[in-house]
This record gives sequence, C-alpha cells and structure tokens, in this order.
Amino acid sequence: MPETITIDPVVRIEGHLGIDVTVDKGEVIDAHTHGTLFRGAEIILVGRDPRDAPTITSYICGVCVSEHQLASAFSLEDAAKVNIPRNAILIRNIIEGATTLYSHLLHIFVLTGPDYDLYGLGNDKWAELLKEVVIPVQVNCHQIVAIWGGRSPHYYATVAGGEGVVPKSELIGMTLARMNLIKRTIDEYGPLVLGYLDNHPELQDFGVGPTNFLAYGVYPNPDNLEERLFKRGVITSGVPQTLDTQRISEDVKHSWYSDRSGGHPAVEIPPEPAYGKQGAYTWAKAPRYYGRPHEVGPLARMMISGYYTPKSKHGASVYDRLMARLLETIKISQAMFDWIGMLKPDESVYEPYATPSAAAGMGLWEAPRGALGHWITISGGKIERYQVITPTAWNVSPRDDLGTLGPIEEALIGVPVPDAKNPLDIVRVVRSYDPCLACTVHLIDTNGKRNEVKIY
Amino acid sequence: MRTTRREFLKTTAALGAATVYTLYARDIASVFSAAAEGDIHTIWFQGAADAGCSISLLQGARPDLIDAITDFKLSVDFHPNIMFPEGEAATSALRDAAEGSKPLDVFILEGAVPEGNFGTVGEIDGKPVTMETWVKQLASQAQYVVAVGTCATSGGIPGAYPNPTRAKGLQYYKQEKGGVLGADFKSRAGFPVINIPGCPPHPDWITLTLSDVLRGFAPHLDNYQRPTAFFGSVVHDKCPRLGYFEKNQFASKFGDLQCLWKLGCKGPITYANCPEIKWNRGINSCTTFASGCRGCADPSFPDPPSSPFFKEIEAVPAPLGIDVNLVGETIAAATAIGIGAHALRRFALKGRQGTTTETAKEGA
Repeated sequence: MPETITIDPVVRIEGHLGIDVTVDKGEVIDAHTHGTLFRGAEIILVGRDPRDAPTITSYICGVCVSEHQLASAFSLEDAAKVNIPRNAILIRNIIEGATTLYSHLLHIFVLTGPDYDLYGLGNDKWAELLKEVVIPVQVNCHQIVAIWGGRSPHYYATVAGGEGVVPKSELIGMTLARMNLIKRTIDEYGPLVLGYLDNHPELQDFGVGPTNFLAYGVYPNPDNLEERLFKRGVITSGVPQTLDTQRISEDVKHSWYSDRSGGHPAVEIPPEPAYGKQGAYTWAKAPRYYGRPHEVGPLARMMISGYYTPKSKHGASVYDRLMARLLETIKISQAMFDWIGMLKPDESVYEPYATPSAAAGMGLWEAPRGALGHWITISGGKIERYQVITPTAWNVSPRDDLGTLGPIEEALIGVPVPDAKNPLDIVRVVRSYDPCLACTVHLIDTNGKRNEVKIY
Repeated sequence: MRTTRREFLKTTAALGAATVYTLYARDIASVFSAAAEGDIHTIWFQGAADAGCSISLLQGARPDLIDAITDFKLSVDFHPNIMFPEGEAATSALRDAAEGSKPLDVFILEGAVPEGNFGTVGEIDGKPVTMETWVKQLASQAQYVVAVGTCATSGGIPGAYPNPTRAKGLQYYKQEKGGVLGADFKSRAGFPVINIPGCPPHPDWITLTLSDVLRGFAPHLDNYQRPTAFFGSVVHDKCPRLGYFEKNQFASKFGDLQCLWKLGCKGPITYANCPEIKWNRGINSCTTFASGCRGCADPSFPDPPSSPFFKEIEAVPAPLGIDVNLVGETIAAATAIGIGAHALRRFALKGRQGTTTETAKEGA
C-alpha cells in the first residue's frame, strides 16, 4: 500500500518548506510541495513611494539579500527611462557576484554538503570546516557587499538611479584582497567537490524535473548592456529560444489565493490570500512560461549560456545541478577580478532622474537560485501594482491549472526510497535546487502516520 | 582573563564600545564556553522572517558564530537554517521545550508572528501548528525571552501597513506596547522581552546581549526594552558625516560625501550605534560610504517616520550630547539593580559541576 512521508520542516534551506511524497514499492509516485508561510510583500508595497520598493523588496529574502533590491531598482529605472552610470553597473555586478559566491559556497558546504558526506565529515569535522573555511569565506563575500553597499546582509546603497559609493582606490584594494582569499578557498575545495561528483555517477540517475529551462540573464557588460556574461533565454523541450516576457504567467488553482489572483505579472492583482481554498495546498503560486513549468538556477543559466551540457542521459539530474553550481562559482570568481579592474575611481555612480507619475517597468535579473523578476506599475507618483516572481517560486511551484507538476514535484517522481524512515535521496533532490522558501514553500505523511526522519 | 560586569561597563563607557569588544572578545567567548558547560538550552525560532538575522549573526566576530554554536550550543536544540534533524525530529525539540518536559533557558525569536494559519511550523497529530501557538508556549516556559530583529521586536516588514498577515512583534506592534505576548508579559526569570531591533541587527548586538544574559546580568533596557549599550543614541550623533552637517554641507546626490540628511537619511531619528560599531567586522556603515540610514532599528520601520525613505525628515531632534561619564554612571547604577536574583547565573555556574537535571532543578 502506498505510504506518504511528510518532512516538515525541511531544514537547512532558507525559510519555510514542507513536502509530501507518496511512496509505493520503494519509489516516489507523487509529490506536493508546500510553502508554509505567506507574507504579502506585494500588498505592502501598494501606495508607497516607488523609490522605497528596492529597500522593502530587499527583505523578501535574507539569503538573496542583494538581488531583490537590484531587480527592483532595474524595474524603476526601466519605468523612469534612466540609464545608470557605467561604474554603477560594475558595482552591481560585483555586489551580485559576491552574493552569488557566498550563496553557492554556503549551499555547497553547509546546506547540501552534509547530504553527501562530501568531506568525509561526521558532525565534529563539519563544525571544524564551518569554523575554519565556511565562516571566513562567507564573511569575506559579505564584506565585499558591505564595501559597496554599507553593510551586509540587507545593504542599502543601491537606489533607483544608481549606487551610493563612489569607487576609491582604497575600496578597490579592499575588494581585491577579499576576492583573493575567496578564490583560494574555491581553488582548494572546488577539486574536492568535482572529484566527489566524478566518483558518483549514480547521482545522474534521479532528480530529472521537467527539463525546460529559463534564465533572464545577468552581469551586463557595462559598455553594452544587452551583452551579458550569463545570457537571457529559454530551453523548452530541448529547443533553445528567445525569451518572450509576455509569455510569463502565474497559475493559482492549487495555491491559497483567490482564483483571480494569477495572470501575467505586469497586470495581475495583488495576491488575495484564501487559506484553505479547495484543491489548494501551498502559499506558492505556479509561474509558467508558455503554460509550462521551467527550471531556473545555475543549471539553467549555464546551459542557456552554452557553458554546460548535462551529463545525465535524462537531460538533468541532481549531479548536473550540483556540477553546474560549482562550475558557475568558478566562472563568477574569475569574472569578479575583471569587473573590479574596470571600475573608474572617483567617477559618478548615480544618475539623477524624476520619478514618473505614471509608468510601468520590468526588472529582470538573476538571484543565485535563478531568474528573478520584478514588475512595477506607477500611478499618481505612487506604486499602483507590484509583482515579484522569485526563482524558488518557479522551482517549488505547485501544480498549474492544467495539473502539470512543478519542477521539484516532477523531479521527485521516481526517486528511490529504500527506507521510508531515511528518505535521503528525496532531500538531495529538493536541496539540489537550493530552495529558498522565505520567498515561497514541505515532505508529508497522509495516513496521519509520522516518520522519525533523521538525516546526516 | 575574567572581568567583572562593573569593570566591563565602566570601560565600555570610557573607551567606546568598539574598542572594548575587541579587547574583551576572548573574555566574552569564555562566557559562552562556561554557559556550554552548564548546558544552557536555547531555542532560536524563526517566525515570519527572511533569515537575515541569522545570516547577520554569521558575520559576527566577537565571538564568531562557531564559538557561539559549539561552545554555547546556541542552535543545537532548534535552529532551522543550520541544524541536522529534519521534520518530526526537528519539531520534537520544539515540542519538548513548549510542553516543559525539557528546560528552556533562552528563547530567541527571529521574525514577526503572523496571525493563525499565515505561518505554520511542523504538525502535531496531523494538524499544522501555527507560529503563534509555538511562540506563546515557548515564551511561557523560558527563563529569558529575546526578540532578535525589528520583525520580532515590533512587527517590521511583515507587519508593515496594511499588515496583510496581522503580524506583530513579541511585546510591541510598532511603537505600541502589547504585541503577541501582551504588555504585562514577564519571562520566568521576571524580565520583559529583551528587544534587539535592527533589520538585521548587528551581530555583536545579539551575541553581546546574550553573553550578558548568560552571565546573569540584566541588560539595562530603555523604554522600548532595548539594551542602552547599543541603542543609547541616534545614528546621526555618531555619524562620520556629522562634521559636514555642522558646517551645513549637504549631499545633493548619491555618491556625494556630505551629510545625507536632505536625501532622506533617517540617522537623526534612529537609535543605534552603527557608525561606531560598524558592520561586517568594521568595514562600513549605511552612513559611512553608502546612501544613508533607512531607520531599520526604529519601531516604526518600514512605515512613517522611517519611510518614505528618501523624504527629508522635517523635525530636528535635539542632539543627545552624550556625556561619557554620565552614561558610565547610569549604566553602572542600573547594573547594580540587575545583579543578584538571577536564576540563570546560578545555572551557568552550578552547571559546570552539576548534571543537566540538577541544573534544571536549580533554576526552577
């Protein structure tokens, strides 16, 4: 008889996630992801000064601390038709890069590392690694954000129109010194993780997902904004395509929001919570592109940019997600030195502009976990409508209106569960997406039956 | 080297906090070790929050978080970002403490508390348990309750107008006393909630306040129950741009070096020592090289008067003009009252020889 396993809370992710999986004959046959917390950022923003949006949206996530205010600033700059100075673009690339390095390293070491006994670690050694390697390296990443942002997490220097810190040679030197240390850690531990993955090809056999990928692109070239280190694009059913933002929409049939809450992000109404709605099971909505689920994140970015081809014969896997994240970490760490070198000391970082009384804007960017979009509508000089679609919303999305599973739900189908009390591979699949659930998300037990699950 | 509380505070007042933290970092770390030997049970619970407070804590240096985790066992009982057990195993630590079957010395809340089903953690008897239920039960069992971050102290971002989830802080909503626990709440050791605002709080505010509590001393609290050691004066008074302000020189655009007042900086109304303590181990602060204070430690955050963020504040509060000696005396006097009948102090000291069970009995 099929048995349902509930894991709630899933720990070592950021925020609140629960997952129900139904297991039959040692294999997952059904899965539901649950976002267990609703906060309503889009509701809070209505009626406020548009310039306040980057600060308020920066609090959507405490891990992607830099990306929301960047996407928000871009959306307002798009609405106000202001071009920010070259230095400001570079500073944003540096802040984004430092945050992504921090987030990826944290994921590799602290969040998913223990799922693999990656470093031959028992608990003691894990603590040692944490103290000697992880804490120092993440301190350095945050310090880079603090140099250009004032502090981290939750820096405030980014404003619509540009940045707040004019480059000084002293600040550039401080940044380089920290990047050198971060790069040394990546050089030392990167091969260890690569070697582990090479020795574990079985990780290519599960966690496939929908094999559709989407990326908004990130790290613009300051001299040609349409050229990005990580490209904008979509791969649907194996076919690379140009992104058409009009084809992005959110379904809410299975989410705790009124049925009229979904639609295209530039026109949908602020979400109307409807906890307990029939057939719904999560606070996350279901973003879709051309009505189909798409995976976002490092694997999507690396594939769409042509830097990585999945090793799994299924087109994606736990292995490919971990590998793409690691290779992306290396790539970004190298590019950081280029951007730092391109900063022009003492040159402007801010372009004054007037907040439009009526306009609409779109800020498309990438958080470490994937495509992040902010859509703003301004009316009477105030925010009339605001919509955020987070990367985790794409990945942990529930079923859509047609009943198609979200990417993580889909990736869980078929995962072997030899021991229902220790569903290690399930947790590996979920964490391979590095879900970040303050933005959005729960494994569950239907028969009211509970399992003591302890995972090291 | 050990120091007495009185000496510690006197030196703090005389030298400026930042110097002292550096000087006594080792000493503070040893306090956490002592606490660990006493097996102090701590639960760090996340309400409606973005984990930013926990991430901020990772940036601390005095002591760093690892000293705090491994020595002080800060997160062993329950901390959702870094603990190992999942699901049921994770929730059982919460349940034991909430039911009182395991002692709970310090209950730390990060995040606001949304009403009812807007936020749930785990399940009991197949039903989701609301954050509100967890928080009320855990607070009622704890010797000390500490609210970490503006969401936990006064509602913060989730509690922002129009407050869609009807979220509150532990003992305040905005400037109004009450919150989830009610205006009259006292923890088992007889203290109101100790508030450490900030979005996020500086890591040293958290670890130093906890080290105070664990050493058995009540932090001297102001009218919003914030430790005066960190929230005793406004950002503006310690701002490196204060000289520009005094010469009436104001920044006209972001990136300028002058006083950021006219660009909407909320330093003049926000109580916090950011420019002095600086962030990320002394790198910078929001009014040093950046685009100004947004009032994230103010109970109103992110609603007026802390916002609109880029609107110049109109009223000019009288500068506090802190007299170093006077502050030293005030704190020392308050401390004298704080010393004494502190269950937890006995915990920490006794626990070094005793077993867990004995220490628990001792504190009851």
